[in-house]
Amino acid sequence: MRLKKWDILLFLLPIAIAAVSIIIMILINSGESSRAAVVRIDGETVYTLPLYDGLNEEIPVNAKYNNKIVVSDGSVAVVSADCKDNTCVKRGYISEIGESIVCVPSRLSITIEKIEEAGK
Amino acid sequence: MSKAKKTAFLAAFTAAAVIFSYVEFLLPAPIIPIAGFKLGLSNVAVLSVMYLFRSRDALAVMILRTAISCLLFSGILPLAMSVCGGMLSFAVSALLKRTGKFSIIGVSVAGATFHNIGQCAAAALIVQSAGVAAYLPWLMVLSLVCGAGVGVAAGFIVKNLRRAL
Repeated sequence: MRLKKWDILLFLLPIAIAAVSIIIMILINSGESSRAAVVRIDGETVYTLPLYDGLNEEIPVNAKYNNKIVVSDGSVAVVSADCKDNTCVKRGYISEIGESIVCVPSRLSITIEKIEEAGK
Repeated sequence: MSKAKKTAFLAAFTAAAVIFSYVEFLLPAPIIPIAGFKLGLSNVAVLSVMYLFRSRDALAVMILRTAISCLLFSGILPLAMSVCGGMLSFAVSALLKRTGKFSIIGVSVAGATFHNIGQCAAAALIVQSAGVAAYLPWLMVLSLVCGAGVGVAAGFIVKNLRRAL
């Protein structure tokens, strides 16, 4: 079993895609700004939770399944979910702009986005 | 090869693919916190069939193992994501293999890459959010590593089994 010279193209492909998606995320989120966790169910924004130090909240979200979201000192996580795979809980806390938690069974997504400073 | 022998071989590969899926299902949560990330062990069987038989036989094995493992272990929603990833991955692998310019390892890496892209696209459609893209960089690195591993394993199987066929 030997590699062929064209294989290098196929090896570079995932690296290129990874690099491009990282660059796009950095470009979108460049500049200092405040962050918010945007909670969406089926694409509809249900909560926009500003994230800053000293803010601790527990928010139950009832989508197709019941999820409990915790906001804690600028980061956010899904701490419990009654769906059976619980991948969103295993993801743990996220805090950087562009990071997201996706709960496919509940059609739920939490994305950290940049928000304008107006009227916090 | 007789039709019966081929049928028996394909059934054995399908069974092996389902077992691989089950082993992955039993593995503890991945070390890397990526939603539902899988090693893709069952692709060893699909890729081997693609090289030992014809691409259409590999397609049959892939569809059967996806349907069986989703019914037995994971459920309907992962089925939608698996099918999206599997079909895209299959199409890309079969085309690349046909060109004859790439080794089984390269084809496997490309298959893994497009499997993950397909699954991300399906997840993005289901939750109606582009946030899934945040998983892409990790998934791409893992595609390279796991795809290469799967390719090497399938390469050994193809090399050793070709004599037996």
